[in-house]
Amino acid sequence: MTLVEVVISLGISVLTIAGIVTGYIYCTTANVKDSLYMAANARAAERLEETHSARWDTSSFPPVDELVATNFLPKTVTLDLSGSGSTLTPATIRTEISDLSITPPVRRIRVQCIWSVKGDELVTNTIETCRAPDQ
Amino acid sequence: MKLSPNISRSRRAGFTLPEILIALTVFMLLLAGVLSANIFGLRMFQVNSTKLNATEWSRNTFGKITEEVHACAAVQVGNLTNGTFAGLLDGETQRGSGLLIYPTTNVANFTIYFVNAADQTFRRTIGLPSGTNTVILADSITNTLAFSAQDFSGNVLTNAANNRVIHVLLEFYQPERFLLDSDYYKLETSVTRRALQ
Repeated sequence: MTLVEVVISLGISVLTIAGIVTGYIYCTTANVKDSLYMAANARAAERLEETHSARWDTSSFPPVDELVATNFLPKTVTLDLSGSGSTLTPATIRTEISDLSITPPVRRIRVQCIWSVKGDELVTNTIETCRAPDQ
Repeated sequence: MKLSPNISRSRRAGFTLPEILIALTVFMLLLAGVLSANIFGLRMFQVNSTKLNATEWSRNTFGKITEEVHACAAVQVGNLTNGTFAGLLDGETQRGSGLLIYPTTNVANFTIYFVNAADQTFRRTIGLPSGTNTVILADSITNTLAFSAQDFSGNVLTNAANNRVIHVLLEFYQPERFLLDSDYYKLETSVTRRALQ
């Protein structure tokens, strides 16, 4: 066995081990990202639930309409994630409410949860629903 | 003295001490690398396993709470003391350790989610005319007042408004374990009852 053979075999071994470790790290990163996706989705759904509790009653007098965008201003939240230690992932929740139809009255509610992966790649989770008065 | 041709050939075919030492060192280096990679993998597995389990649990549990509150006939925030649920009255801040859900108008059928401060567990009790059944859903819960009734802006209410948002907040702390650091995290969800009466 010559020195060249030893060096080449060592190089191959190092490459193999580096590949295995990179694979582990990639799996962990993908897992964290996936968990953050789920957390962002849950946060957006939370805001959607809040819009469902806003009163929009056209049959009462005077009509009550709390389902307006000014009642749901953008807010910053933290994405829930186990095992993250002191590292917190902030997200911004934005709500858009628009009229889909006047007669019959139907509104479209769009909630966006905007967050970033490690501070660079921006990701947006969007949930939409429609709502009629008195629901 | 002159060596015979056979002895001379066998000596030439062997390894010298430096060769063996170098080979052993290289082998040890390789072994150390493989072992480190395995230990690193084991740690990653533990971390991923914890994250995935927590995610799966939260999706299942909060999904179930959401479904039950969406479809229930009535829901009430309160406190569970000595096995008895006491709902919060109008005028009191609607924040407590338990959530009582009536799936139908039959008050004999109910479900209670609550935090048991004694053992820091999160539990679910199903009440039927035939009796009750309690299961532990999670442990290591550090907050007691997990449930609150809020308005659409997130303000905690002081009355039992019909269109309130039920907010659930669970804070977890798990001390350091084998290959795992201590961990603190919280899970939150909000849900509004759909079947308004």
